[in-house]
Amino acid sequence: MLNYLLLLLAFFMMALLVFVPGFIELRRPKDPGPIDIDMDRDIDERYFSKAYKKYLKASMHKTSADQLSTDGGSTIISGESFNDVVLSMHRGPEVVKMSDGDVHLSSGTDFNQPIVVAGEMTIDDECTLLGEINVDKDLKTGFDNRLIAAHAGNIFLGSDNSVSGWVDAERLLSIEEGCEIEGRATAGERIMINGNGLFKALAAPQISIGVDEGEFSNRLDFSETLWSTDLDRIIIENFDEKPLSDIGRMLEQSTGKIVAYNDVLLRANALGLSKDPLIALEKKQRPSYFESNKMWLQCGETFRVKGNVKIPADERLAGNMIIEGDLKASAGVYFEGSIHVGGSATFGSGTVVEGSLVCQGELLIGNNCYIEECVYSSNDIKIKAGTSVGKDSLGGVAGEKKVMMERFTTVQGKIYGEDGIEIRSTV
Amino acid sequence: MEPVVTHMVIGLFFSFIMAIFLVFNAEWIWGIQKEVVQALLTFANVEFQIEKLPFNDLRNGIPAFYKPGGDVFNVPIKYMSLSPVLAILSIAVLSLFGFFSYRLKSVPLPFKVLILFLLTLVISTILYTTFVSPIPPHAIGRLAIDWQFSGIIIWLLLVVIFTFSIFPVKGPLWVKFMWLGLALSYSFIWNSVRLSVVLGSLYYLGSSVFLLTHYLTGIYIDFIYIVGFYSLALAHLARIETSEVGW
Amino acid sequence: MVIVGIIMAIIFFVMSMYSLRHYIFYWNRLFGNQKGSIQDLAGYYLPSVTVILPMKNEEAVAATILERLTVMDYPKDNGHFEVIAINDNSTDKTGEIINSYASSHSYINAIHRDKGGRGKGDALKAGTELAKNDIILVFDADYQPTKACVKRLVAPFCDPEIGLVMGRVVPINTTQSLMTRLLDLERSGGYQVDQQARFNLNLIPQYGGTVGGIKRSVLKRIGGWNTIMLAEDTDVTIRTYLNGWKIAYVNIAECYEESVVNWKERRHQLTRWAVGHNQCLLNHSGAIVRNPILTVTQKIDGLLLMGVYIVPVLMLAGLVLSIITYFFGSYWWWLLFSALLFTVAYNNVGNFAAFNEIGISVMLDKRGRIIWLLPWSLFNFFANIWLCTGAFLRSLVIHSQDVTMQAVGVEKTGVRWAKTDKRGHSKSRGRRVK
Repeated sequence: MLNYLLLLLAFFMMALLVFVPGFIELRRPKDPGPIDIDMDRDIDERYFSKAYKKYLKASMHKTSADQLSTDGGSTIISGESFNDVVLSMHRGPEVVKMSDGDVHLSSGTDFNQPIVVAGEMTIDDECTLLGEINVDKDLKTGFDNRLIAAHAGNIFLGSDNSVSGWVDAERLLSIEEGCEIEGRATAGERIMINGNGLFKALAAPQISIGVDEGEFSNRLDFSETLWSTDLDRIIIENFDEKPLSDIGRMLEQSTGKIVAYNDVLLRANALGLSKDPLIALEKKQRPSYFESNKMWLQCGETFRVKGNVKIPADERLAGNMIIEGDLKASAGVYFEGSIHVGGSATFGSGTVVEGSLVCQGELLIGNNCYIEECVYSSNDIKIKAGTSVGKDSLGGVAGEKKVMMERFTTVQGKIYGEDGIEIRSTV
Repeated sequence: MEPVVTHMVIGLFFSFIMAIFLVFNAEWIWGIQKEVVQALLTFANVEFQIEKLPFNDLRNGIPAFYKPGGDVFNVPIKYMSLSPVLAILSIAVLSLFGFFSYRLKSVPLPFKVLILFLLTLVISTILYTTFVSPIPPHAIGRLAIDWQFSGIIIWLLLVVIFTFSIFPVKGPLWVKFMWLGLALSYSFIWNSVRLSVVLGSLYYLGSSVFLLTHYLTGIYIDFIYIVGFYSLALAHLARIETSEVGW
Repeated sequence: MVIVGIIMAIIFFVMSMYSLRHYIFYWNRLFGNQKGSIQDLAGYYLPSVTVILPMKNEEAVAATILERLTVMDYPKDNGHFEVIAINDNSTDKTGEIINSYASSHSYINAIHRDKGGRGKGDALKAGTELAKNDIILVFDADYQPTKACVKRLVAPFCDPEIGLVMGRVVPINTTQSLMTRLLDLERSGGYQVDQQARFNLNLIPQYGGTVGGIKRSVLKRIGGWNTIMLAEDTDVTIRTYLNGWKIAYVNIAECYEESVVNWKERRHQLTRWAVGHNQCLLNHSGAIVRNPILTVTQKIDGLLLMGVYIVPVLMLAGLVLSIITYFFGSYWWWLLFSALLFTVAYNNVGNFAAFNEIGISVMLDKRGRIIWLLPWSLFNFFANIWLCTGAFLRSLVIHSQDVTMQAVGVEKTGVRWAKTDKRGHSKSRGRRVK
């Protein structure tokens, strides 16, 4: 029996052995947590350049005044004299070339250390600079240069420049034809892109592609229906009996302007004619182009439509729209709210969206459209010439695949494409 | 995190190979394990006989079609039951024990639940053997233990679990195979010891431990060490992936 | 025995559904397309926000959350961002702390309640009535949001389909006990894998009652916070989906929380969650099945979400029935059922997440040795069986009381505030703030 008990003990020991690693971790924790969260990290598109500047500044504080002066040794690059300063950077100690005045690098210069310039910097053509560039004033480049990263007060990138990292300007970033920036391109005030190019992310209060400097015009031009007791009475008396189109006509006669058919529905809801959060709309409550679809009004502010939808030209729709299928909106359609499209979406020229546009499929926005807030797609986004997105420096375009834009488009805020941003003559 | 599809495909291929290997070599594997179990039973002074029955292939591992087959361990079992008075007294004592265990604040909740579960098994066994029959509710033939209880089938499950849980994770293939090998080896030893413990328990403690052995040493309890090896394998892969964290 | 067999088959079927669900989530997180919930535009869509902070006896943590909100990077001028801190009949210094912040920050409003229903739901209701802005965010008092948390949480609301958002909860006091370490694992699996996968697959991620928000217009229209339910967050989740809205899960909107530290606190917390979920299941399952907008997979996921605390009960029922089968049924039936029962049970180890979900979450969070604790979550498994069974019985009693009261025309009363005591932990590796 004793030996049997030993065997039994061995079995229990084997079972308990499984818990031993956990016990070791409990007694001597090597991964106790919590998960490290940077509590003070903000959303800042200019994060990389600011972080780099921060390291530079901190390192320069630590470095002695002697080392920062001309006595610390110097290098001549392309005829320009730089002081060699060893700074303790995020990568470890490295030699940084510093200049107190203006710098001009002639064509064909190859250099691979960070450069810090207190004045202006001009880089001619076909240079390869594989260290970060930090310029206090303006940075101008010629054509066909290769850079790693650059920060300056204003940056003027010539044609066919390629940057493998980030580019950040305190004020203006101007980019000529044929440039390629693999990291973030950001500016404190404005980005101007003057030709085709390939990017990953662009962020600035104003981003203009192919337009001259000037004010962006607010393309919003609408007049809201001013509801009154008389108008409300028309709705209350007729809502249960007449189709929306008839009520809309009665209101038009009263007000002298077109009232969006679903604006009537929203107003009816606001008047408490139906309190349910989800209302299935009958045929008479839908316009003709929604007749074959199932449609609901959600919480008195959003319309949900099942199936594919085609909206004829110059229609006006109040409220937000959720379209579960594909959407094809002809020219001049005016959406008074935001739109969510479950499939792909095509918007004809002159479309206005007074909110955001979110699409699960491919998205094509025609010429001269206006989207007041954001554009987002899980697929490719194509934006044709003349379209503008965003208002008051807020807004943006983001796609989980590629974003393709023609020239003469403007965005306030940010443009981001997971698979890149392509500026083209035509999409 | 990028999944490593190629490793998973290799794992799938290995699962297939393992399945073929088990189908055609179960008898041989059981032969080795049988020797180990024999040695352990001899060490534990358990009387046993080995009966040679025709070997059933892997399909008969499925419970619905179970029939003892191959070399089978037969162990003499005492059928034990208490007198009704003693049974009721025992149940009362056990119930009181259960009640006080539950009320004691120093006993953590999971252990309270475990104790209650064990007591349920013991009490139901006492009730059955005292008031229904001292013979466990299944035929004598079911007391034979053969290769189908040996854990050979669990090897296939182990390989499949590793294929879908560990192999797609980023990391070197050799680490994954190393931990799979260790898990299979541990499984072999575990199953050998488990079989010996079950036979020994039935021999020394009789029919009273039937239910307990089925629930406490059944094949599903293997998940304890499967999760254990899974966690060790994953921790190793995590260490390689992020060498600065927690080491 | 046939009846037992049928019941066992149903139990096995339901538990298998949960196991399959865990594997689907695990696979999706590993191989599937990960939705970013419009975070690329975070900071570029800034609707007006009201943050509601319900507090009852939270003097240990009140100052921390209020301080975090004062440094929150969000435009605060012209009422665009307001904080409604609600002192719900506290007996400690919570009221004084709230008042001091309200007096020095114009966008923080201090509300002191000493009348009305007592419960988080009632406090939220009171706060919502005073809210003026478009989006309502809720934080529990012991939470510590990051500076960018609000910007990240509100970004998905630019999508008109999104009615609710939920961020990620990260335990801060992980070193306090074995319980906190196990819950660290569990939360990791539950949010990093489970919630994210549900969002990726267009299923139903859950609003957890904190680190999340809702459109004020939607909340008003769907009937506001339910003060009767113990899990008003799950209730709002389901009602939101029933009315056509969706939830966006924002994995990157992280916020520290204090986990419960011992079994006593865990018991209260889990019982509250379980009863609340069961109440939702009893109240909403029919509506979910009949809903014309939800897809079939969403309906199934909704039912599984609400029934998640029934799984341990089924486990217990299965165990009992398997013992009966052992004694009175045929051997192979018993072997089949018990083997299957335990197999699917182990796939559901832990409260929400299967062991492989937890494993992958550890890798995604770039953690290491904590995964060695995974076998210890077996103890949670046993405790869950007991607690959830008790909660299930309690929820049946509550439901039958509600039905009776409804039948005789008596208004249902809310539940008492059931809260966990907070100790106040800083970010410094979970050390307690003195």
